[in-house]
Amino acid sequence: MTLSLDFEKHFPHPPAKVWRALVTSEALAQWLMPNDFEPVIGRTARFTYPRGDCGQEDGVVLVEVEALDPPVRMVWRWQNADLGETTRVVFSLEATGDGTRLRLSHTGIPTEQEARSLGGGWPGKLESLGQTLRG
Amino acid sequence: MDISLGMQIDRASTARVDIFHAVADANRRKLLDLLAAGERPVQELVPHFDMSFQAVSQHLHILAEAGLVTRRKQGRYRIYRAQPAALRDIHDWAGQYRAFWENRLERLGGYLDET
Repeated sequence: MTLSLDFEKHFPHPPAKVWRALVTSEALAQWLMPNDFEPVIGRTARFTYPRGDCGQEDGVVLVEVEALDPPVRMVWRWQNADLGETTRVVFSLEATGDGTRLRLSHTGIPTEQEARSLGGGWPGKLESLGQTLRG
Repeated sequence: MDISLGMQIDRASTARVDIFHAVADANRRKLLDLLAAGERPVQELVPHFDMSFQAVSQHLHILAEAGLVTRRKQGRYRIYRAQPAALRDIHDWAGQYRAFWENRLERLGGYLDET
């Protein structure tokens, strides 16, 4: 069984600008993770995250672009190489009078029980999240 | 900032931060596993690791700071005990993704404001 998460956030910027931040490698590196992303359907990009203080190599999330409809909708196949879970992230943009409403859905997230059965592979991305929140 | 979420967040983000830092390390996850079976003094934990007593103590200290374990003194021993409520928090996989995206969308907002 899997779970889905839905987020909605309004930005006081036009859709074209928000879209650029979602499909530009440099921008994604600023707000999401270091990556070699290109907005091309079928291409798989590597997003990396530090694994914390165990001196290991960076963790990898493979992101394949499954759908691309600028500046309205983009679908990623999101696969954490450590965990083997395959999930999907859907970005939907909608122009509002004063900016853009972004909806983000992350679907296919394993339930608690499955997550436990994945064993010791706790995602180091949470380490970077921690650093970001502390910083 | 208007973030609306499909699920309710009921814990302060500051508490999560240290929990995530704490569980990012494989040795500390192993310590949590060992303590999940029952409270133990540091001396009984050290043989399970290829690390010094000081290193194990340091990891336990980080776990205690995050609220994942508590410690009490008994004679010359320091006894550590896992905190079930905090452990439940880190087992909530969806909760981790929720915190991850919430944080990243905040950063996206900051990025857009600055560029």
